[in-house]
Amino acid sequence: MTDKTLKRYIIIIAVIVVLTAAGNMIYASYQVIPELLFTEINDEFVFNEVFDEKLTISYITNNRDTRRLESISFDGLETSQLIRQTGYFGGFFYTSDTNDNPYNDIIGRYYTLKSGYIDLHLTETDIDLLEENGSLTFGTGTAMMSDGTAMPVSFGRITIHTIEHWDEYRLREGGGGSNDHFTVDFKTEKPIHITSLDLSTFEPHKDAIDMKLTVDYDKVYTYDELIIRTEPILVSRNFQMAYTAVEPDISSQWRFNMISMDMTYEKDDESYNSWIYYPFYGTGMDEPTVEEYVEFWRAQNE
Amino acid sequence: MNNSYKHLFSGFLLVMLDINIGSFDILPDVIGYILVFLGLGELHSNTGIESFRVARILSIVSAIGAVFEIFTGTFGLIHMSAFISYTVTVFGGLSELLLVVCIYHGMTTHMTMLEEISLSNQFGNENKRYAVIQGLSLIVMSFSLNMPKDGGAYLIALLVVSIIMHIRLLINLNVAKKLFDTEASEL
Repeated sequence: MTDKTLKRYIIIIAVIVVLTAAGNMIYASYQVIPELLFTEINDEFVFNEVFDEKLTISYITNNRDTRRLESISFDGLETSQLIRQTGYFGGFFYTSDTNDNPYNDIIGRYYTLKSGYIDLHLTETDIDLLEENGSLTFGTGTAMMSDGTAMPVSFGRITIHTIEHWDEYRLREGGGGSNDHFTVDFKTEKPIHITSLDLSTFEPHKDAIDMKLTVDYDKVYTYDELIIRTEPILVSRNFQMAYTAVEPDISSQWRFNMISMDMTYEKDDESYNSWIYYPFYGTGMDEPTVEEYVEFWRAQNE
Repeated sequence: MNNSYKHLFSGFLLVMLDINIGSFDILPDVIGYILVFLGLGELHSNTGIESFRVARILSIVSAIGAVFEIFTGTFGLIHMSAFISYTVTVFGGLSELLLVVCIYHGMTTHMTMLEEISLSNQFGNENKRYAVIQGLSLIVMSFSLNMPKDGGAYLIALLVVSIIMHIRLLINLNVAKKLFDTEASEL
């Protein structure tokens, strides 16, 4: 090989490597998210003498963003809720011995899924308000980060009921879900008429999820039928809402969680409100699921 | 003259071997590159081959990269962003590739000067092989910035390829070293 040939080889190799690296860096720079993303929380609790409810707050940051969530001031609650960095489940503190990842964050190629834990604390003022209204709902507020920055947040909806309110208004029997399927069951002692169902939160996911409303184990309504329906739906005993991912085995729990439907029904000529939700806290999201979530957020916001 | 190739052999052996106590490599790469720098200096002054001079400059670049690695990796004194870390890795890989290509070219020319035609052909062919294989490996490695974290199998494959090519380099340096050992003993 002559010097000239060697020089040519070197230049070609160097140019290809530099162009490839530059292309990769440009592509990676487009993946950066402009702000921290919180996954949604939708859940209901009953307030009793031993109120020991916990919330798991999950949020997605760019990998270079090392901030952690320290506290949240919820609109509607008197005091800030402090964040624990380690989970306490089943009697064991969930920690990791890995120095590089002490909080067991899910670290992907672009993003990190972090979690924090709240032991819900209600002040006397909060409890008085709860008992006066029968329920207390919150979901928006201000998050304080470890570097001192504050940011407005909107999680979803968390409702605390008194026992009496829960017993009087509750229709929800129970529910369960997996990666690609979710069902929630509702039961009524007396016949009711569902007069309205807010499908707006389902609409962005309608191509990825199939919806099925089954009434009294008999009538089945799909999304396309419900969106055009104007007459009330008679429920004699029970109904079930089911979501199924169009592509099986695709982790769709984050989609189920973002679907929060307000429902209005009539019973004995009186109007009541309820809602259909899925309490998934974002933990268990793996790298592809986190990226899918970010891609969805971009489509909705950019 | 035989010390020159001995320096190159010892230098690359130190670079290749990583014996870590905690995060500290007791055989720091920077010492390896210094040996390579010394060997290349002797070779260039004895033969006048331009490739050895260029390789000498590249060995300084690699040595600087090795010093940087001590401060970022071993002692963790400097925390680099992913982009900077990636740039340093790619640039370091490119610099090492060009260093070895220049060394092989210099060895090929040196063997031609000494009328060791079969060794000249051997080193020339190995140079082309090294340039293509390591060049392709570096291009594949440059996609690592956008590879999923759980797709690490390809990195292991790249590591195996790199180890094989470096072993082959050591073998070829040893052949050149032994040639001058033989000549010295005949004298």
